Amino acid sequence: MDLTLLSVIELSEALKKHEITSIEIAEAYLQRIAKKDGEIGAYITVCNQGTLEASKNADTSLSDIAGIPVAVKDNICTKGITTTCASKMLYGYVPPYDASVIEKLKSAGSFVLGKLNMDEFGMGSSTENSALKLTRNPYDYDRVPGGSSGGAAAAVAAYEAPFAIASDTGGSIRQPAAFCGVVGMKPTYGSVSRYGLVAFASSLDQIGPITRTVRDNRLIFNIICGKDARDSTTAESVYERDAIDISSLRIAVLSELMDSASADVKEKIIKAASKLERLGAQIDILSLPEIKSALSAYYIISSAEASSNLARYDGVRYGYRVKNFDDIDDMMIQSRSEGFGEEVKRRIMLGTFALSTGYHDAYYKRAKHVQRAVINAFDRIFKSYDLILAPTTPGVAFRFGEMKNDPTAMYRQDICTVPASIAGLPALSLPVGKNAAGLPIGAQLIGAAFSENLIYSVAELLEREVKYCGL
Amino acid sequence: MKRRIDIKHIASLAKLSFDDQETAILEKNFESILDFAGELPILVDADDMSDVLELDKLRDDHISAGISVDILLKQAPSSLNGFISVPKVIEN
Amino acid sequence: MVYDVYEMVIGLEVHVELKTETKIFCSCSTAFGAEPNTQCCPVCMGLPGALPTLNKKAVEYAIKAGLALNCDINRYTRMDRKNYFYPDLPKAYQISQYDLPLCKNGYVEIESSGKRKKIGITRIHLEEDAGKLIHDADAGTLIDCNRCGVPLIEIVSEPDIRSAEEAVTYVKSLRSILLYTGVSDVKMQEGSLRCDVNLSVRRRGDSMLGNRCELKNINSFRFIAEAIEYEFRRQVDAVERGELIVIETRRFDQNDGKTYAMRPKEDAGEYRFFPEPDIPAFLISDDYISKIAVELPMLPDAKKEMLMVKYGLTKYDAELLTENPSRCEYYEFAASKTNYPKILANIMISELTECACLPDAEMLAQICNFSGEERINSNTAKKLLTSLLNGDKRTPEDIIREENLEQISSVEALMPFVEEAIAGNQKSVNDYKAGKSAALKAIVGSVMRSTSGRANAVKVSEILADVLK
Repeated sequence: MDLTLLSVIELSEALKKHEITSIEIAEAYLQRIAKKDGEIGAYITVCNQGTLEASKNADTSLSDIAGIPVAVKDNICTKGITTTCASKMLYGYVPPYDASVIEKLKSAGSFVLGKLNMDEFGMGSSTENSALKLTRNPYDYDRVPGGSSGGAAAAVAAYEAPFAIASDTGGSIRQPAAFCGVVGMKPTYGSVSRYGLVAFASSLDQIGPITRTVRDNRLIFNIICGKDARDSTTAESVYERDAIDISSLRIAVLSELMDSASADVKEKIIKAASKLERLGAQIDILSLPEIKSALSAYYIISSAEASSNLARYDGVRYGYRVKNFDDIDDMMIQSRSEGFGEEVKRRIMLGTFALSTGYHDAYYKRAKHVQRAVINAFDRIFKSYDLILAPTTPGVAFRFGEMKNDPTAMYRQDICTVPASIAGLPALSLPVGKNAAGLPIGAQLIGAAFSENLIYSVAELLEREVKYCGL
Repeated sequence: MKRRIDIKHIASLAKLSFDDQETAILEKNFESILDFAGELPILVDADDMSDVLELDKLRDDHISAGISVDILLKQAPSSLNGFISVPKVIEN
Repeated sequence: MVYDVYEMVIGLEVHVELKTETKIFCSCSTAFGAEPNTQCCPVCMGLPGALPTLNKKAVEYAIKAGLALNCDINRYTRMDRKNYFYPDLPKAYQISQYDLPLCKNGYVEIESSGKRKKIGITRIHLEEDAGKLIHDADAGTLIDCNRCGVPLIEIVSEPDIRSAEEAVTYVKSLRSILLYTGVSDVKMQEGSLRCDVNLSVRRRGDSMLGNRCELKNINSFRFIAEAIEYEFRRQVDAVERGELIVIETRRFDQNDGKTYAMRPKEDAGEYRFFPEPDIPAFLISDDYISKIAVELPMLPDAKKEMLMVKYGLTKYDAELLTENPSRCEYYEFAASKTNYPKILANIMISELTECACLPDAEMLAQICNFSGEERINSNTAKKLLTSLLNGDKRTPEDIIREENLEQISSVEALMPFVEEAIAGNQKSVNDYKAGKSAALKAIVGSVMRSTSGRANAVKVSEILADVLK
């Protein structure tokens, strides 16, 4: 029995029935990684020793993920395990503390399998911006796995991890999940603690699970969510509605997002919509014109916050410091210029510009106004609708190098995911089909704040109908 | 709106440096990014007061242990006698 | 004098360390004097992934200070990021407050040239302190992050100050008021009170403000005055020469009393302020403010008035006694135990100013009582005080009895000594009878010596005057 093929829930049930042991799970995954990761390149660090040790001491009574290892995106701090953010700047950096979500997962009896590749500091939509290595889409090795959580999505899709936790700022969980045919959730802003997540854009970043099934995703979310005294932006989570009546469900499809999608993606979204309709849901097509400026507003806001969040990397207390310099100023400038990759520097420059005197009002302030307008627009929709169904991405996974010469082409990859990000709303991507070339296509379910329960329930229904086949 | 973006000035604020070639590419990038970020609509400003902190939920003033100096300094590129060291800063 | 044609226009920026147990954004200790980098954590070190959490007490103390300084408290307020690079700033931004400070529109009343004057306070805001840098010739610059994150309030005054004396009085008043609120130790030498001076000059009668310079590195009241005097002259001299005053930051040199231009930071002032996304804005309710207002102690000015009215003290004495709240508390407690509060005030002011350790208040009150009742004279009072301070466990009553220190005031008891003194000081007696009234002193002195200082000097003078008529 290949344990890597089981879902988290299946593994948990088998563990509780003493049919398998945690050690066997750990060994199975380590073997799979050893076999596959040379090709796929999802992992930056594999915790061979740590995993085996922890699996020996696993207490499977702690929770429904006890005894099951987790793979972690490399921008989430893991005590004693290098956390690089896929950057030269933090190469070899070992955090002296665990992120709050890691503490929660450990208390639940899970343990860290390894750290996953990503776009440097979370900036990118293909994981091509990793300074450390290349990650390939398990469905087609010439194509990107998406980003910035490419390593996480690829690992879960290729059975190199039972589940992963990653981060999403503008689509970084959802887009790679769609490209790799797995389930990814970006929860409501404030529902999961960011303490220990290396900050990219503080008002947008959220941690969420990447799994092969919707039920697995819900399980992990319920363990990691909750108010944290160490993160002042977390809220008391209030999750409404346990059971749903599909026949009373009203779902909106946004025309602007559908228009941005390619034919093959559109086709699968329409099919998903029909399935939900057949189950009794009411589907309406709506227009949300405010969404058109969401992408620009996102890039200004996220770059502005990033330019501030990444200023701490100055070669002084930790991280990369050049060896030869004239004075401290020179040391800082050189360390940052060498330690950061091109995209990171580009965004820092954009963010610095947007906040600088003379441009602050025209760019940063205006972007915040647009954000408010998008939030209000969504509020209006959710007065009459329960969920929004949309494509997760405009197209399927693209080839390596395809977006290289035009940064804005890469930015447009986020067009479907960014609206939920800047509104702080929960959004889940699940695979709803493949195109003619066999490449996965994801659909997005967006809900009102703290409606994760509803999203998961509808996603489970859809998953059952679609019967998507993984690798 | 035609902007003259001073790449050198922004780079100095961000403590980054670019050679001439990189600067040229950046200037081009900036043009296209800012076009794309473009004409953001001017909308009514309303300070949203819904997400406010409640004062009694703030952190209590009780000391808890931090991280030991040895561990902190392990990550420092250069240290001396418990201090982190950097090239001499001229304060003038 | 050309300087008389000009007036100085001064505004002060005072930074005050709040006396909380923990830092403003993390739970590290704020205790002074620890080994370098031993009071740090991921938050104050600016480690990747760390997030700030606001200290409840810091907000409370800042509001307390604001109320004591007659400010309006902004009901909706938030933190902002001030972005710049410096090795003592771990996050490369300081969490401070920009356009919605906690307090505004306050004032402090001071006395200037015998008149009451209000010095306006534009704003008070909360912010975090930076670390300490030590410059070493060989090792370069050494960084200690213990002070990173210590809570500060910055008190910005209106440019209402017109002399060095006013500036010093203002800072002293500020210091005294803050001491009373208990929010800070306000010790300039220790850095819990720091003062930057903004000074410009203009011809008297002008209403336009001249270009101003910011003066830094001033850490005592004397230096505040010195720096101001020097800078005033420097600016007037420059204006007289037809030169433009460059708006800049200048460093005060304690050795030569001059100010020197600091190398301008290239992008000084380009801080790219934006609201701190990791700490939501907060709403301060009327209730919350009332609770703090109710806990405010009586402040120095009111205390002074009260002491003058209740105990009949002079303004000068009341001022000295109210400078320090714990001394004042001591005075009030001791004064409640004696019928002679003025004597108590005199003793405290003349004998006990340098005293780090005040004597038992009840004992001191007793001494005052005996003094007031004329059971002892001032010499004896001093003697008793000394004994008390040296740890003598006996009560003043006991000491007087055991050492026979009771003042001799009755005519019968004094007469023998007076007669002895007259007999032994014939020259002085003759001088006195000849009209030199000052000669009496020598005879009185003689009586004091022969009674071991116990004679009532006033009484002795009276008796002598009578006898030698």
